[in-house]
Amino acid sequence: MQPAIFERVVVKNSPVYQYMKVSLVLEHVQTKLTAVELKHLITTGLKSLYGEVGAAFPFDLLTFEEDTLTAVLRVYSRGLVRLWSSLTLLGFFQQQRCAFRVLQVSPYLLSLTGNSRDLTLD
Amino acid sequence: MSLFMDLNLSWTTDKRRLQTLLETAAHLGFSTVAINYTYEAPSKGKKEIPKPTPVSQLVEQLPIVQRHNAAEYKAYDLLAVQPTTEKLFHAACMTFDVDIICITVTERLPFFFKRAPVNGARERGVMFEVCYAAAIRDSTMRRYTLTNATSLVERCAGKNVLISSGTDKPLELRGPYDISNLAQLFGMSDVDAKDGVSSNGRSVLLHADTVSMATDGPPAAKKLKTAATAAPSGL
Amino acid sequence: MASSSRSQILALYRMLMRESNKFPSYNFRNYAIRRVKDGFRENKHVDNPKKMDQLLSDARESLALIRRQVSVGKMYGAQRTIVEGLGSRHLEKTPRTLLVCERSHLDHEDARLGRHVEQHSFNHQLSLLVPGCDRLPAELDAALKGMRSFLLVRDLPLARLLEEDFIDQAVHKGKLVLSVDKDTYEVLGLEGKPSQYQRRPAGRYVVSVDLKDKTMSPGGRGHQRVLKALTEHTPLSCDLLLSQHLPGGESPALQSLLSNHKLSEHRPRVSSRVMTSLPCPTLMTSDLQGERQSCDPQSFLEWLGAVDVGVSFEEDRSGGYLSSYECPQPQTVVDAAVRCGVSGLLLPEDIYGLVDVLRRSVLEPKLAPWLALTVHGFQDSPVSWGTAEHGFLSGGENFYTLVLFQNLDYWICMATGSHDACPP
Repeated sequence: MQPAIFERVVVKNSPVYQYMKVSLVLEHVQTKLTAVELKHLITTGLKSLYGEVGAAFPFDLLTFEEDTLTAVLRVYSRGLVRLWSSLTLLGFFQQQRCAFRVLQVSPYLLSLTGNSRDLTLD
Repeated sequence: MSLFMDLNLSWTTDKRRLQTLLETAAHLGFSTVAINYTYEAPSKGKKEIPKPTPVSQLVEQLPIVQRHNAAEYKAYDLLAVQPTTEKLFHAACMTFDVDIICITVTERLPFFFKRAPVNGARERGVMFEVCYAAAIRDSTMRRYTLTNATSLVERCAGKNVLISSGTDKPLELRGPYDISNLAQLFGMSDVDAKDGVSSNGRSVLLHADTVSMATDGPPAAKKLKTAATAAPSGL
Repeated sequence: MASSSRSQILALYRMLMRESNKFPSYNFRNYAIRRVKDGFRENKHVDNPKKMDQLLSDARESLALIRRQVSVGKMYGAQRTIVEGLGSRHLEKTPRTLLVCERSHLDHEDARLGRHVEQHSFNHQLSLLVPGCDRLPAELDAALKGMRSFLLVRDLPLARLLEEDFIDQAVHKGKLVLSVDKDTYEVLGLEGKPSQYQRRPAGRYVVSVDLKDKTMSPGGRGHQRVLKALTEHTPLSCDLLLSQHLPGGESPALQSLLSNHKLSEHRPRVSSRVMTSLPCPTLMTSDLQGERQSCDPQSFLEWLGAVDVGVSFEEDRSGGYLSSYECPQPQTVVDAAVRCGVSGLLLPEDIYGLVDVLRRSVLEPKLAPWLALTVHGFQDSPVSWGTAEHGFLSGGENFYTLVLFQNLDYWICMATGSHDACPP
């Protein structure tokens, strides 16, 4: 006997979070950074652009690779534009120039590891 | 159109730096860039305009920017002006033969954007340009960039706005998607914002081509290499 | 109050509110909304039919007035006031997304798994997660390593795909779908449709040619036209990844057909990783919406992604400063889990073959309560499911995740980005 099941659910426009893959480029390449310093840098940038109230949304630093300075961030969807623009306008880290390169932004964390633009062939 | 353009990379005498700048822009995903030679007109008397080639022959400047009778501008592919008074802004929007009107982002706006000239410029296919690099450099300039850009976007409803870098430092360049996200802060919708780094640039190039075609006949297929900005003051 | 007039009143109220919302100026807009609300509230208890008719016709007049004023207001535009802020509302919007989840049983008559897999044609990566085991069963391992190899052709003129021998030997059925920008479209001279996602003004066009149509037979009128467009008008050429599935197991003809071009053959790249003491969310097959004590698909997809990018599930030393993410509750910690990835050009037929192997493997009692297989499509592919148009706004995600349970129930979650149709 077959179990009689078939169910379909369509979820529209409901991503709670957005995920960003970013890497930090520094003027002096040898500078090292810890995850805590990176999070602090981003929070400071967010506050300087939007103030205490505008920056009052949490974001998470899911992973951080210290040798490539690449991180995966998770942010509430409503905070994405603000977090992203504050990353864009961040230009200095401890008196040296820096730039955040946003590598990918997606509403699905899974697609950060499945980017066909990074596909390399043997 | 998904080709990304940055129509304002500042020209520097340092050739190596210019090369790294171009490489960074290409790496970030820009397929077309324009190199910007800035010329600031003195309030009185004449000053010479640099030629796009680094070893330049010097030429004289005319009081008002007019492409078709100024041979020295033909060396450039695009012509931009940054008006400093309301009268000049009006003239730039309505009559000058220019492609781009730059909006000042490093100081308080010297005048308000009026609807008539802005609409006039939109009808003629002239673009307004906002440069974002100053906003990265310093927080006061960031404030000016945001306010000036917002009042511009308010006036022209987000259409006909180009967002360019206006920098000579690779670390002040940002990727096309970063910029279209940033443009949302100016009050542009996401579609307009993406146009601001892509298809608006294409319209400017076509506009420039049409103008030069009207004056010197059809151009050969050419690669974009140079652009000029003139900032006439005190007329 | 008669019910018919009640619905009339409500309809009128809604219309008034909708029109009032269109005032560009903040002051007018808020006044109108307030006035409409107050007016209706004030006369809530009127039950005299004559009075009511009077009020209704007044309201209709006001509606006309509001409409006129709105269009006048739009001519002049309005400065946004400081009260409205710098449009902070529109800063909180993100592009639309769609996530379609289906639950069924592999042998159920409505199960459409086969169709879903088959329609998602252009895949570049798959990743398989098997919790609760430290090495894959031999059959599964072989299936993952045995994915078919594919060809990379450099700088192939597209017209080559339309030549007689190619169509005869390599194309059994199918369409040629080109997504071209406006400039190319104008010189190409083929009929196409403006892209669904860039309509005003149309910046991109989709040209679709059915290769097995009657007029497309070699020498036919349609064929001549397409060939001319691709050789004379715009000789398009590009690097292509090609792979061929032949049901009969004959040797693929691609290699010999394209031997005049720069060809190289590639094997899909396989990687695998074993994770220890991994917290896994508890899944209940019957609970697709996550209403009872189990994990809903969204959080499950997030968790899968977290495993893929390598989020550490250990307590971090910063005391939650860095990240507040943790595995959804309820969870069970498994001793070991295998995550295996394959990347390359993966045909749907091969993926369906893999699903068959998975079906046999999941029945092995000691393996795992469930398996998860995620298949990613190319972000820049012009189609996603079937021939549905696919675009790229700020990302071009189109992937599906298949969760297979031990009782052969399955979930399939199909996710798309903003420029994509609803998955089938």
